Amino acid sequence: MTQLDFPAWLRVTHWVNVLFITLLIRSGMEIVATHPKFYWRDQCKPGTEWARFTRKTMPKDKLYDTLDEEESYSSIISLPGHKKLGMGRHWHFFSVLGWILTGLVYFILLFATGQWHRYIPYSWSIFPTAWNDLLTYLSFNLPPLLPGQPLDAIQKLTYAFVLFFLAPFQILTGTAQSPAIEARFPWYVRLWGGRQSARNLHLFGLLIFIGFIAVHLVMVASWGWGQLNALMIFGEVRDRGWAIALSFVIIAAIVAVHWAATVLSLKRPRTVQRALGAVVMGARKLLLRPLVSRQDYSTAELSPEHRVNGKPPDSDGYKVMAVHNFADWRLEVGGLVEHPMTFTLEDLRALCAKQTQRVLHNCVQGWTSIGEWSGLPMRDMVEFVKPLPQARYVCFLTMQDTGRDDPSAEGEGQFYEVIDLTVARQSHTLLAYEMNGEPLPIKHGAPLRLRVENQVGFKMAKWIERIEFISGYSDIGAGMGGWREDNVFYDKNVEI
Amino acid sequence: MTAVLRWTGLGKLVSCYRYIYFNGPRTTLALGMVLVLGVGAIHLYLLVTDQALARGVASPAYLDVYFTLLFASALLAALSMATGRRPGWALGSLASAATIMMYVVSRVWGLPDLPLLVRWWDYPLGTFVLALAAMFLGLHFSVMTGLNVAYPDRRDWHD
Repeated sequence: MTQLDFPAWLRVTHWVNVLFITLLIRSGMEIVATHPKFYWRDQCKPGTEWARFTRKTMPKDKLYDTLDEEESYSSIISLPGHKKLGMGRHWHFFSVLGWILTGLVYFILLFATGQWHRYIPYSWSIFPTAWNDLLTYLSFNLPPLLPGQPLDAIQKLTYAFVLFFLAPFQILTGTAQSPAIEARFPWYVRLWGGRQSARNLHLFGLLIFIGFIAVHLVMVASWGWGQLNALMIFGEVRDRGWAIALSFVIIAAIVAVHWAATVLSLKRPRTVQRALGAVVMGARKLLLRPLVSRQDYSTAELSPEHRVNGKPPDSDGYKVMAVHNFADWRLEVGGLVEHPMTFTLEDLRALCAKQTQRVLHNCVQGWTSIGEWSGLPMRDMVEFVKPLPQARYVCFLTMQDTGRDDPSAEGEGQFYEVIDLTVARQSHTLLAYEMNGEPLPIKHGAPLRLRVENQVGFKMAKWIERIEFISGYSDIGAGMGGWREDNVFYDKNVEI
Repeated sequence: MTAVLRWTGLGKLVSCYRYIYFNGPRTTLALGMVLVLGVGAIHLYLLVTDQALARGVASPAYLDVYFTLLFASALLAALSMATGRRPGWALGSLASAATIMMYVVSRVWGLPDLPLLVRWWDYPLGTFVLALAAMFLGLHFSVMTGLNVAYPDRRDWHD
């Protein structure tokens, strides 16, 4: 049998894994902070949480939205901390790519070199042996190692569980939270009991990981910090003193990376947004962009109370239009098109047959609701106005002035979002003027909002007043492709 | 000191329990009952089998009384908790605290007529009952601080 030693690839991947997994944990905490409430049902009805990790209580006597519920966690537990969801997402998705690549290299080499024998049990006798090991640990003693192997029986079973079950479980439950995956494969989300159930399971997986790391460290200390670190650094036990010293140097280096990532994210968020976003963007475009919604939830599944993010325009002009059922509202469609047009709400209704879709809405914060949206397919609008060849994006300008209307949001100015023309042509991209069979409510974007079912909610601009077909977006706002991208450093494409 | 705690973020970390609230009254109750019944069941087992002592060593009468009391308290605590009476939790904590205290005292200083217990830590069932008792105390503490809520109490979250 292969000698179960500590080859260089195993040692390197171990420490790289430590870096990525700690980055994942901290950035995951940042994502939790933005909506620190956990539900079992996808409706996310307020008050039905099984857990909340916040001290905030929302008012009973005035309108609040989910931005008000966002919590500020310390940088010690979250990356970067202090309500920086955009940065947390960039680090989480960047780290998960690094973690998966590290894992792939590890798994390939594990099986190619025969080192898998150290983890995969091939005799039922390992279970009674593991039970005896457990009793030995409860006696505050150390059990014997398996013959010719670096682990005892209970350690071997635990590593097998973490490597072959827990790690894939985290990837699969994380994937189940992607709007694009949910849209294209609704059965996959149901497999986990729903989107919020997948979020819960992802949290439980995180807690098990944290528990494993704690026990792992206790085990290393109990069996011999110097000896085991010598094996994991040098591959052999020669100088335990050096191994101990070097183990702390490596840990300090990992802490330094965390510190640098935190400081950079808090002080130079745009740099982080550009650098990490560029890495993640490729994976998103390749894997998630082509996924088109096939959702068709039943009317019984519609959320009685569809949650909302963002507050309506607080201007006299908007209020007057609202009082008159938006009879005076006009939608201007222009930019790089052959036929610039202006539409009333009635024009949009008469333009072509109404499309209706019952879908799961994914907020970037993590909550979900199920709603029925009806309106004009965006691809029909595209065909109607005929974009010029140089048009590559569509910019949706809204009546919301964020500084005036939404004090909870960081930043100010007219809210806008940009989507790729290819996304605008996807069948699920809708200009919605109805919700649940009624005219679109004000808080959900009346008179017109965007629906893009393979993206998270903030891309779906509400209270739209103008649509521009453009060749680039670098000159709009801060040039990042949307108000949230400009001000809170989210990614432009958000299929996850 | 306050400045250091604030500057390092440690102050916030220490007070992090104030950010944690669970809403599982029945789960909390069930878990509490399982833990306290586990403590009681182990004491009943020790009473019946004399396994707490070395083979051939007669169990002093007071130890049998202690095991019996512990078992009865745990059972009463579980029944009281199930019927929604708060003293049940207090009784459970009392039984758990007594378990931990008696075990530690017996291993550190010994018990009357039982000096053989001193430094006898390598006893898996003892470690296990210690863990159960500690977990019950932790759970009861979490209920008292509001981190958890136990049936029949409920959360009143409107938001």
